[in-house]
Amino acid sequence: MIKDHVMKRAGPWLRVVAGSASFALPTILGIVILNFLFLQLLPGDAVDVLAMRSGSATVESISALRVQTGLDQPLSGQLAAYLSRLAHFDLGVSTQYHLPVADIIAARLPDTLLLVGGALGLAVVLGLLLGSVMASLAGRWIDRMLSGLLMLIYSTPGFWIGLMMILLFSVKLGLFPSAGSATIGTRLSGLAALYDKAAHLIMPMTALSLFYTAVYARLVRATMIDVLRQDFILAARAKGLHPVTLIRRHAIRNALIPVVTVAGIHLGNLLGGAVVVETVFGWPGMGRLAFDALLSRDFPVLLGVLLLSSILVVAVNALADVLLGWLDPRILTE
Amino acid sequence: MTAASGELLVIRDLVVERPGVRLLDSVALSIGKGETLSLVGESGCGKSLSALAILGLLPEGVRHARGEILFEDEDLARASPRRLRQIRGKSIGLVMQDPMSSLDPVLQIGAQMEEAIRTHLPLSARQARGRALELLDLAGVPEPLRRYGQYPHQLSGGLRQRVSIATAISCTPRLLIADEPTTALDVTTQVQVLDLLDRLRRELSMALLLITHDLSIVARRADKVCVMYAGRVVERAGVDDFFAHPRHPYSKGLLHSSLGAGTPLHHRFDRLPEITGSIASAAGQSGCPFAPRCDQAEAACGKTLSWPGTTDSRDHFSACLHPNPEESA
Ligand SMILES: Nc1ncnc2c1ncn2[C@@H]1O[C@H](COP(=O)(O)OP(=O)(O)OP(=O)(O)O)[C@@H](O)[C@H]1O
Ligand SMILES: [Mg+2]
Repeated sequence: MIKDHVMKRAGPWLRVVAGSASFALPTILGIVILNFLFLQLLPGDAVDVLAMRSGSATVESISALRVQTGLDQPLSGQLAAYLSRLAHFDLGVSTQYHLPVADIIAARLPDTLLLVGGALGLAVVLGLLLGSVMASLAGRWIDRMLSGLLMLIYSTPGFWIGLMMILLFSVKLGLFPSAGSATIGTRLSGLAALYDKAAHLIMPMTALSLFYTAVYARLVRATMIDVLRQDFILAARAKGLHPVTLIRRHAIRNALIPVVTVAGIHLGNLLGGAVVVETVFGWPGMGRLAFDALLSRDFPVLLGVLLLSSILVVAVNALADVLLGWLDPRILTE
Repeated sequence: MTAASGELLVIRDLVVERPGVRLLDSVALSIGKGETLSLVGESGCGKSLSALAILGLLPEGVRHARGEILFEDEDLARASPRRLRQIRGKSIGLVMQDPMSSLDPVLQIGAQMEEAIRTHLPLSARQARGRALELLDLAGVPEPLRRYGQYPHQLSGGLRQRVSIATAISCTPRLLIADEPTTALDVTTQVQVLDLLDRLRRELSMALLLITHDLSIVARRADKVCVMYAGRVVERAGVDDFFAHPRHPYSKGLLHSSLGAGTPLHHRFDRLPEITGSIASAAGQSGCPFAPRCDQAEAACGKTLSWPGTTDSRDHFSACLHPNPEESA
């Protein structure tokens, strides 16, 4: 019977995933082409930057470099070449580091996923917790105090929060390291390495997540106040449920639906916000990589990062769709 | 009124207020074991509020000000939150009006039923599931096994109301409160659901507090009737006595205007003159709240402070000042 049930639910789920996937490919292709074209609008290319940095370039060496990197080709030719390489899962070679783009990104990806995923997870969990407390104590002083605090967080830029955190927790209290993603020059393993990573992660992750925590807490508060007014809550209370059980079983699940919807959309914003936070905390992620690549006109790296970001966003949104289907059964059967 | 011993629920002098407004005024009623009491009255007169007061589930900002709610000789108005939680769902069940909104849309039917069962009965998950299936069957839900795993939106209104009823009776309560359980249903389903309530009341020997707008339902299903107007009980009697000799002018108006059966009560007062302000604002003021709409009103009706009413030899209560209860309507 349970297996039967799972099979019945798996049908519509597959539909949701297949639906997302059929959108994903054309979307990602469109994003790649647009990114490519937009980058051409920037003044200068990688060769200009290299020439400028070397300080001893001649006209001959510059045009030789252009031929070597393919930058002498017309735009349409460059785009076609890029796409055909992409079709063979080749992201090209960095003009700056002369290393395969895939390798460069692969080295940065885990740290970025850790930072962005951690921040999003923290924001959802904390937002849910704060929102639930505020909704169940709506109008009381705890609710008002938290609302004020969230408003403050809401209106403070993340980089400033980051700098203040460094000042307080690293410089004054010496609790957490102020930069990097691991202690340099040590070869830690096992639990020690994990602890070291966590100590480095905690500040940038918190700085990145605070704004979203505030957004989710307010969203959960509003939704839950609405949910708590529904008839089914009164019906559940009339069954003799404890108030905490009521929130846990009925209110949170209903309030989670809008949060998951927006959290899927927020991943893109978080990847963007990571650029600033990674810079402030010296976190070696994709955000900083993209920023450096932009300054150096290292388009293969930049395009690679953008491509991966869009794949991440699409994948997370598909995941959000599946999660929504699980949270709200009305979506699957309609 | 004197509470005969053996009464299941006795409410005495219940006053419920929200700041500045008295919503229930000196409400008194009693329900014997296994009996059906019908609470009637037009919209906003305080029927639901009375039901919620019994369960200790008054809305935010509304508070119990005075009076006793004796359930099996225990005053629920003074019971601790913990004690009230033990009673809700276990000794007193509630079925609400709208089956479309009284079930959680994101939880399976079975899970919502087991929640009530496992809160009060020491059953394992497996046993609770068995009990839920049994209850669905008892409430006349076809294919219990299939319905058990479904979500509320996959069920019709009538089925959902059956699920609500099955949940409310899951711990065999001594009292079931049904607040307009059929108002949101179509006519054929209404009859089926009322039949179900009747049958369950007999099989489980529980008492039923049936809130309704519809006097035809009262006539067919209730043992006793309690008519409310503007937060007060204006008439209280056995059903046969009530229909044969209504005493209060408001009740007479109700019966008179419901001769053409079928239309629900709250549509039948169009002919009566509108009173200014909501009827709740009339509650708690001196004088008879019905006086402005009453065709037998005298000068005294508007002045008399909290007229206690009279109870005749057949234990038939009327809050009307008129000494002669047999005056024609
Ligand atoms: N949450 C609340 N806050 C304040 N006042 C309320 C609240 N709920 C009900 N009331 C007031 O209490 C009075 C009685 O309401 P109640 O819901 O008991 O009426 P009712 O007899 O059940 O009407 P209906 O037939 O429409 O269900 C109404 O006048 C209403 O204004
Ligand atoms: Mg009501």
